[in-house]
Amino acid sequence: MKIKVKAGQCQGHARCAAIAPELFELDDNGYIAFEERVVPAGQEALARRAVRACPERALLLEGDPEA
Amino acid sequence: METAIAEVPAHVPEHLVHAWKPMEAPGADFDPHTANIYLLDGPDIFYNPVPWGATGTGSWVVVRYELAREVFQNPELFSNKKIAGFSKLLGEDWDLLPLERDPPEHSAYRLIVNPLFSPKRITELEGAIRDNAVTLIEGLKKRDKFDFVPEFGQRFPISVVMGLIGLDLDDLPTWVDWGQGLLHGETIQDRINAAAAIKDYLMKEIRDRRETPRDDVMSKVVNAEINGRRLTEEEALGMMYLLFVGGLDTVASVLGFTFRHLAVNPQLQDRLRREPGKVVDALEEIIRAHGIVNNPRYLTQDLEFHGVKMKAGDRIILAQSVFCRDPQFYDQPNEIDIDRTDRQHMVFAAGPHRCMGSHLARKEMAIALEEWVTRAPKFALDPDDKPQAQAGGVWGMQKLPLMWTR
Repeated sequence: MKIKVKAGQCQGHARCAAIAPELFELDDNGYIAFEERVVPAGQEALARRAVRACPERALLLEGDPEA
Repeated sequence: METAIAEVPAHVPEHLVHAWKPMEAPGADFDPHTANIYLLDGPDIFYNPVPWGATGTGSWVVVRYELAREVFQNPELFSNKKIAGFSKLLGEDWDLLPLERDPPEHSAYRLIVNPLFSPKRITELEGAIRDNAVTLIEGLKKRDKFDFVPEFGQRFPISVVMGLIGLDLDDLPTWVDWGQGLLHGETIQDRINAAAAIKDYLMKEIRDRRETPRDDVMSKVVNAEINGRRLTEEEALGMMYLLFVGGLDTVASVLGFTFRHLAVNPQLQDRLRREPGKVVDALEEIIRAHGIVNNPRYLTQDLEFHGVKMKAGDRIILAQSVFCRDPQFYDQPNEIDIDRTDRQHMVFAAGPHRCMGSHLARKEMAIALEEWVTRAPKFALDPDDKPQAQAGGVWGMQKLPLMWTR
């Protein structure tokens, strides 16, 4: 399962990082620091919660068996 | 009071007109959010002929979460130009920056402030913020009763943000009066007087720091470069005016609603005392249900938006204080449930104008709540006095008399 960030959609709310700081690394301005990243095994539920918290809907989960 | 009803433009259908005066809903003095959920039984977008602020004209009002998100995320259709209009009060023409500009020019100003208020930077300030909260709480513990709004709700966040900006905190009571005049003034003249006083004060501080920079946020902002040149004095004023006004009112408003909720929910106070780890969840849930800023946008072109025909230049208000309770988006929207597993909200707006102080605001409020539940006794409403809310562009508690129940 992969986290994908929709280009230009992150507005720096940092809700993802508040829920799952290890999965959602931010840059010095507080915006998401990557375009895509693999979710480590066992972290799927946490990743889903973080994705759902984004008011911009800037995050997608690719290959989520529960989607 | 500006209670007149503005003329309804010809393109507005009669069945969508509703004169909305949030403070006239029964129960609004104590809880304006619950008092105004009746709007969610009406149309998704209605037209309010009650003039917005000092503008003299009515507005479209959006009461649905998903529609508001669409507006926030489409600045090419829904512009931020002149949304505050403070300079117009003074017969001048400068913008609050970055707020009153649209992308792409908005982004250059935003880049100046983002690192000054990023989550990383705010974490570094945590100790100083906590010291400030502790001092105020320890002072209040020596009293039997107090009005939460001036004594903590305003004093705490204003001290934090103005200290960070680099202003002399002796002027705090004057700032509070100016903020009240500018944002909640009963007459246009009250607003004009406050707008002028803030401008004169800030210009002096700005000129001083452009001449001799200090180690404070204001010096960094007013001496910043944009597109390879130094900001003009007018741009520096636009940036500082926004930081100043933003720092005066909003956290105070949210803290007022938060502590009103806690005052009437002693079981929640007990729970947070037992489980301080739930403070952040409690706070997110309380702010989710108490949107305070009702953001205006202006149509850049004629548009049919979700079945409503609007004209270029129309104002559209994203009624966060209402759509934060939208049952089409939230299960049990009026339940303040700190155990919700999913919580998405737009209390700090969305789109390119996401509140630039959101990380500072969240940190301040979390620290305030943590310190109250760990070091203060239980508290309740003071039965000898009466809380008073206000509901204009920014909703808040004007007065919140509390007492310790020990």
